[in-house]
Amino acid sequence: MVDALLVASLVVVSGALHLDGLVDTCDAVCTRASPAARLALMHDSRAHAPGAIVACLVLLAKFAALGALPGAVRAPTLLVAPLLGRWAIVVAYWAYPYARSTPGASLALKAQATAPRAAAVTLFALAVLALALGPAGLLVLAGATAAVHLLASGFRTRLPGLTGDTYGAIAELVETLTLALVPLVTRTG
Amino acid sequence: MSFFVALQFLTHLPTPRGLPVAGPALGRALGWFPVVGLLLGALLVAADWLLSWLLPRGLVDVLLLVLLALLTGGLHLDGFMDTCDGLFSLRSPAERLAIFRDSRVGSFGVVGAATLLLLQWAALGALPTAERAAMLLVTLALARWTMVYAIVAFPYGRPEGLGRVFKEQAGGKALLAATLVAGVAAGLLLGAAGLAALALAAVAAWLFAHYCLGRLPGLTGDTYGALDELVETLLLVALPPLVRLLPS
Repeated sequence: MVDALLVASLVVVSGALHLDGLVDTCDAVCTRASPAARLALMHDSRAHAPGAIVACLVLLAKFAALGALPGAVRAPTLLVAPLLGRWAIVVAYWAYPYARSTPGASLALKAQATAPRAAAVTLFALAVLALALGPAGLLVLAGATAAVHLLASGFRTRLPGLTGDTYGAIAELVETLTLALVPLVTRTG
Repeated sequence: MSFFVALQFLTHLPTPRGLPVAGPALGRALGWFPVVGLLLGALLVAADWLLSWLLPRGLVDVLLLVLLALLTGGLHLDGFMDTCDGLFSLRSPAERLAIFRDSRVGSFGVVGAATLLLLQWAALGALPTAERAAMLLVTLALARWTMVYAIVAFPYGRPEGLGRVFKEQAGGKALLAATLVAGVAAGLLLGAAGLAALALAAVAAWLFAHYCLGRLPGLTGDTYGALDELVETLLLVALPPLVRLLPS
């Protein structure tokens, strides 16, 4: 019950912004179309089958991961999972090309995502991870970094570049991965 | 060759190039549907075994659902959502068929998918460890068998479409072959409970097909997919009690 409320609160607190991005991204990358047509599809506010399925499965994965968190790492995991989700957004803005040229909040963020800022948030994330999880925190950051790179590279094979929606997708998936990864590395590490 | 035709239609697994997309090979492919189900089941069992070394049960079960959606390209889930949107809307049969063709998901489809996946996840978590592998294999094989039964035994709803191509080639022979494969596999894996599951799947398919025929001019590819998902869910839920009642 508590876990379901936590999953729900993550959705509500972010205004479902990132989840919406995940749905739109899945719909776009799963469609057989040109990269440009996929970009247009992402602007369609209605959901298609791939997005709906992935949204269900990601929410279910978060619920299952929360339910399986050992008591000792539960609080640190709850702290670092949302943190790494947002960290991933900054790093992805900085590291990968942006697809759209239409002015908007996302393009402005892209322009402001400079190397020093990416480095600053990474240092901050690293400090929190070290305090919360000790050396195992490094492994979690490595896993999250690998996930950001794999996801961004995967999206770029199907889209001309990243967009606001894909940053949301990356945030959701890195958050979910972190929930599963922390118990794994604290157990073996 | 007709095995690969079945594999191509039911999964995203690699198949040889240049397979027929029409003609009698499609009819013969129907006989292979339960075998494709067994293959998907075997892949899930292997993934289950590997992932269970690393991750807790609940997460492994979510990943199994993810894997199955990837292996099938989400084909049956997509059909299930379209079927929910079409059948639960208060429209004429022709309008329902048009809703099936709409690639967007309506609220009935979203509610349906969320409920279905939650049920499948909870049922996976409740499978007894000893029979878990056998139950996964039987579930996926029998669900694909019900599609063959529905294609052969009930009228098709559209003048054209992927399902129509199968329907035209579908005959009693294909259904007999598929039933033999499904029955032998279920019997060998779970004994009397496996055969009871086959009967249960047949009753469920008959009921669902009649429910659809009350609302549509005939069955379609989307309703075959919906049937597959519903039977998978039903069997995941029903197999543990069936095995307790009829131990092999």
